[in-house]
Amino acid sequence: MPKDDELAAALIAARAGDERGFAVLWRALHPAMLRYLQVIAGDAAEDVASETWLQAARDLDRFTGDPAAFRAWLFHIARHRGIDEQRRAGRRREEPAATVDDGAAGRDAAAEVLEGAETAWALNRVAELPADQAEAVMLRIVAGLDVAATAAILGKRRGAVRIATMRGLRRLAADPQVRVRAQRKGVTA
Amino acid sequence: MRLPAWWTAVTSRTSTRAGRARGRALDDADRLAAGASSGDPALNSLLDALRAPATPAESSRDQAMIAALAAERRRTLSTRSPHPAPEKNPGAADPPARKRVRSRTVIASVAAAAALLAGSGTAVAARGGNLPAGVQQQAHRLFSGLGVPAPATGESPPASSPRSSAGSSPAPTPAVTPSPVTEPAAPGGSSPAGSSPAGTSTTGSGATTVAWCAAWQTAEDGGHPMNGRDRRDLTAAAGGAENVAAYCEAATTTATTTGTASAPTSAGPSSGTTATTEPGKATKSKKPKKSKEAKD
Repeated sequence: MPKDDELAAALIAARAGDERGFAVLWRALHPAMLRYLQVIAGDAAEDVASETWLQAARDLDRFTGDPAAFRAWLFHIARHRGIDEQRRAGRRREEPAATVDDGAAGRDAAAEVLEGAETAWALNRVAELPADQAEAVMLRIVAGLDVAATAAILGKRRGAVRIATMRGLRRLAADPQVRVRAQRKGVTA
Repeated sequence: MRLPAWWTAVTSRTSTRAGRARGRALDDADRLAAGASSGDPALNSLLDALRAPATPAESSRDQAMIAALAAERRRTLSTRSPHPAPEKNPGAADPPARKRVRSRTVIASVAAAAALLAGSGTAVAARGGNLPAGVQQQAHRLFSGLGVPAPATGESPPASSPRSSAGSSPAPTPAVTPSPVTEPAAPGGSSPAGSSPAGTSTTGSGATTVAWCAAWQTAEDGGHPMNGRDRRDLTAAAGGAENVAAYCEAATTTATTTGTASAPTSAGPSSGTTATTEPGKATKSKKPKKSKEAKD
């Protein structure tokens, strides 16, 4: 993760249309955004992420602030785009995680990490949470936004965001699939 | 909404034991969110997976997207009034590159528009003699061999554009005249090349395929990224992302030869026209159905 001053420089460069600026911003923020969108927009996540970035590229003049504010701004756009997509598709939780296998037995963990299977599985567990908890967990833990920024994006009070995060984490910790998978990998609680 | 009973306890933090426990739990969650690890290995491993570095799949499109973003940004800068960017690096958006990207996009847009025209509305309109006189004259000169009549002088409908003629004409003119006819010319607009084929919402018609491919090529060259829905449909039609290049090559070569030839034979309606003559379906179907098809 690049430091804040690198990101600040990248922001200035990107605003002028410099590809290197966008490269820094993209590498720093895209994975988290994509994961967040996978939770709220499912299969459409990649498309929504592209739309989000393009809108950000167009509207960059309207943004003023430091890298932390940019992160919040970007996720704000992503959320709106994601919600639009949900409305368009109207299929948020119709196809739940039943399709995802909980880890093919016998494959070694390193390979799974490489392929991102572990991450995909984890995202799937988060997507199973109630929507407000899932979003709070993704924005705070994956996107790295603070309580205030998350609350602003979600349009909630800070207290509500903290509670949603806590409940989401509790529910994940109690999730049988999470426990079973951890045992299978030999990390017993 | 009524606040739960423990609410005051949480906010004041100290009044009851339950309140204190709740406050501690919230603090724990805050620490976890800030990157600390929990006492629970199972939860830790889940959180680690959530925060893991980008996977190859996630970064597969990096280069193309980064180039596209910079291009989009430069295009925005060039179309907006010149108040842009902090004057820190005045030469950052070098004019040649900008020009190249722009002209590429314009070319792709024009290609998409041409393909669309050839395949659907205008061809039908031309054959029915429904274009404005000047255009009809051109069409007649180019395609008289294919049965496009010269502009009618006396009884021509008061049509000044193909769009307005669509409503009144008795010919099997598409009810939904492709509005993108005018759109792709606007350079700064939102995704001209990508979105125009979506308007017709046909799957697999020659014209649509060509338009898809034009948009796809633009995106491949680092220009305007392709509309996501179209990309999905194109990938599905090609039978996989890796086949798109070959598919497009085939489609573009056949379309340039058959596209113009087949369009006027409206006796056996081409796929481009069938979709547009069923207005209900053509306008409503849209996404859910298509995405299901694409999954199969």
